[in-house]
Amino acid sequence: MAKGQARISLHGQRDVLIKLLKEYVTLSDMALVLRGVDVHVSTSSLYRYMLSDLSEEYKEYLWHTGRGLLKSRQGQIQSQGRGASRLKVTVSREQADAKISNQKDFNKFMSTNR
Amino acid sequence: MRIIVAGIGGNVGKSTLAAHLLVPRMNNAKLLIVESINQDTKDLVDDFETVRGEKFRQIYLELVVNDDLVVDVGASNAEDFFAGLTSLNQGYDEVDFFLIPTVPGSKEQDESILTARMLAAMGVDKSKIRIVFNRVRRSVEEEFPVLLNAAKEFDCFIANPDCMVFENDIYADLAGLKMPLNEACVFAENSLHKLKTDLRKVAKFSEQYFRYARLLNVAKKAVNTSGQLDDAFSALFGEAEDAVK
Repeated sequence: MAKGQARISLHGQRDVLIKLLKEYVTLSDMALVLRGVDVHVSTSSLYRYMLSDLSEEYKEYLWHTGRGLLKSRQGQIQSQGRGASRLKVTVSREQADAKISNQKDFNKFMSTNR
Repeated sequence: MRIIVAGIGGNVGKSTLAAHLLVPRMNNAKLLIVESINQDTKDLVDDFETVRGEKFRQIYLELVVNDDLVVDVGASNAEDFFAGLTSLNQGYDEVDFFLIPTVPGSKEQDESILTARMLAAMGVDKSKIRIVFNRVRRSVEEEFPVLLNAAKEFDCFIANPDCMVFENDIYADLAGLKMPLNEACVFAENSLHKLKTDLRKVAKFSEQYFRYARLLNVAKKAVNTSGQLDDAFSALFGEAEDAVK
């Protein structure tokens, strides 16, 4: 692809990208969505387009999602072993249902979920 | 009513909501501050006391003897407080509501969800665990998708999008001026014209100017902010108030 071609292609999808940002869709998923409308760009091209042309919207998206922060990435690394999604809260419904009836249960709950 | 404002995460506006949203709408209830770091709200209420989270025996006693009480549990003391709660059999039985503030940001929402789940696991009834959406910029649905989804998934706490408080710099100015919101409303009604005149006079003196500029911001926003908080309070506890009447 010629230099600048990705940006030109993405410019025509600006409204779609803003909508996807507001829905907190990840960049890699956005690239897949764009393939559906025959726009083939890499995630890194998409990232550069976000920085250059949708910087305000992207900044807000990052602020809401916490993506890209070191602490978020560390959280992901820790949770990968357990096969968890980005949200720790969705990890363990069974654990949420386990009753806390004394301090030992409480400590166990906290150590499992934090 | 006796309400505990708590959450395992910090910087979500627990103390601000306790002082501005709850205390003035609960017959100027006593504010019990379970906190060792953030002491700003002391200046905004008439009746307060501070206690450490590990002194749960004292906190429980306050819950028993007061008809209206707001317990503001700071994040630094939250784990000690919740551990204390589990040290008693149904230590939450004197609490009418647990209020869990949350703000946009995935980490803060995760921590609020975890707090709610933890209370539910302790046996607290779903109807007593309520989320308040704080520092909203545009809309709750747009900014709190994580929490709203979790409310549906876990079905163990109430997350009503109408229980929301907008982002507003008046709270920082009120804290700086050590002025409660109801006082600011009276000030706005009686002294706005004089304030503007004084502000023009002190425009050359930076320190005084800063204070007067803060006062003007507070005076111009107090009434609207108070109305927003009334709405949030009704959305949070409307049915409980109706039951009392």
